[in-house]
Amino acid sequence: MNNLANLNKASLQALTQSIRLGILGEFSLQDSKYMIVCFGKNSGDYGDQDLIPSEEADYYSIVGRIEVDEQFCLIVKAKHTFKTLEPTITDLLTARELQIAAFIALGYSNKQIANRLQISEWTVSTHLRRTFIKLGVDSRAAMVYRCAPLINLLLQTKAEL
Amino acid sequence: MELWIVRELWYILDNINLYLQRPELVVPRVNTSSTTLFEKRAFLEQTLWSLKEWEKLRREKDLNSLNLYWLGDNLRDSLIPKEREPEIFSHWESLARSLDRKINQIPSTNDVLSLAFRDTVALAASLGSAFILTYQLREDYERNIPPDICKALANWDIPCQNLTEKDPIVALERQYLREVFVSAGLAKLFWADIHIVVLHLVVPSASPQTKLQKHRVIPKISDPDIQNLEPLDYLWTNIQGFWYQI
Repeated sequence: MNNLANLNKASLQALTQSIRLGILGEFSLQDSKYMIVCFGKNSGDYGDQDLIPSEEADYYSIVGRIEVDEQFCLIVKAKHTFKTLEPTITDLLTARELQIAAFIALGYSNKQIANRLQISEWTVSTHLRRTFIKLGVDSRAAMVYRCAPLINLLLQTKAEL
Repeated sequence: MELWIVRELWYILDNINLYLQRPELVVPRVNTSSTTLFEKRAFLEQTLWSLKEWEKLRREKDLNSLNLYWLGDNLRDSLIPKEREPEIFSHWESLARSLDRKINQIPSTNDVLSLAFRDTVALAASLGSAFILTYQLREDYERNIPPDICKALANWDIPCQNLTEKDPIVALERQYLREVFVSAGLAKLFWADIHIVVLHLVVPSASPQTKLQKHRVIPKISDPDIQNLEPLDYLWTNIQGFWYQI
């Protein structure tokens, strides 16, 4: 979520750089980023079409207009371009990665997993490394901890690994 | 011409929703401070669009009819041309594993793209006469910055030299490849200002016909540090990269 919020914030700042407007302030509301941009004393100088370049229109929208100290300002909202929900373990890992995580939870070594899946030990370790990257962990124990609820569910339902 | 892809791409596509949500895993440059915000966003969008296109291709096309090959988790999960020996799989895996050891000695990167680069480099080396097709972002091209895979190679102490069309061999191959692109109906890529790059790897004794044991026959070397290297490690310390733009 933080990365996405930062992305929205960064996108808004980038927009203001591109159209060379002053930023009066910014705020968040319901997971969206907003920015108040000031464009001068004459509202007739700028129409919506001119203010938001066409190539940016998919990402920003003008949601309000205000006047501050005789300056005409717009409230610009960064549209969501990416999903904002935290992914679950099943979103994070592929079936093969979950399968290997479950084997590790059961105490299998890489060699045993390799034999079971008829792949090389190195291939097992490449799956593990990718899993570590996705989960942001650096040990097998931490990986099992992160996957525990799902692995338990798999084991309880006696799913075939 | 055989088109090969690396298995890491399939793994990425197996999990495409994750990468659409966390693009920094496949676009590590998003996290670098040297890139402007617009460049970051443009690069993100290009990458995500490409991933979606690949996913669509895999879902909608019969991959067996595309002259497209890959090495999977094992030989059974791989698709290799009939003319190729099945040993290509173990040969590739040996090369990738040895390159992995070399990479692991360097401060690790926490992105999936580096794993894909490792597999790509090993695949090109194991295929013998293969080259890697990649591209340069417009911003990188304008600043004379190498493609990302060349930067990764440089981080792994594998030199990567830029060649220009003034080189007669480059001019010859470039002309040939341009014709291939045009005959494949891809001339529009050149008009669209997409900077396609060819990367050649010059690998000592890495042809697939060479038995792995042959790597143990290393020319007489006086340097004790090199003498102590494992055969495939020797290979990765003597590899060179050359790249040019089509």
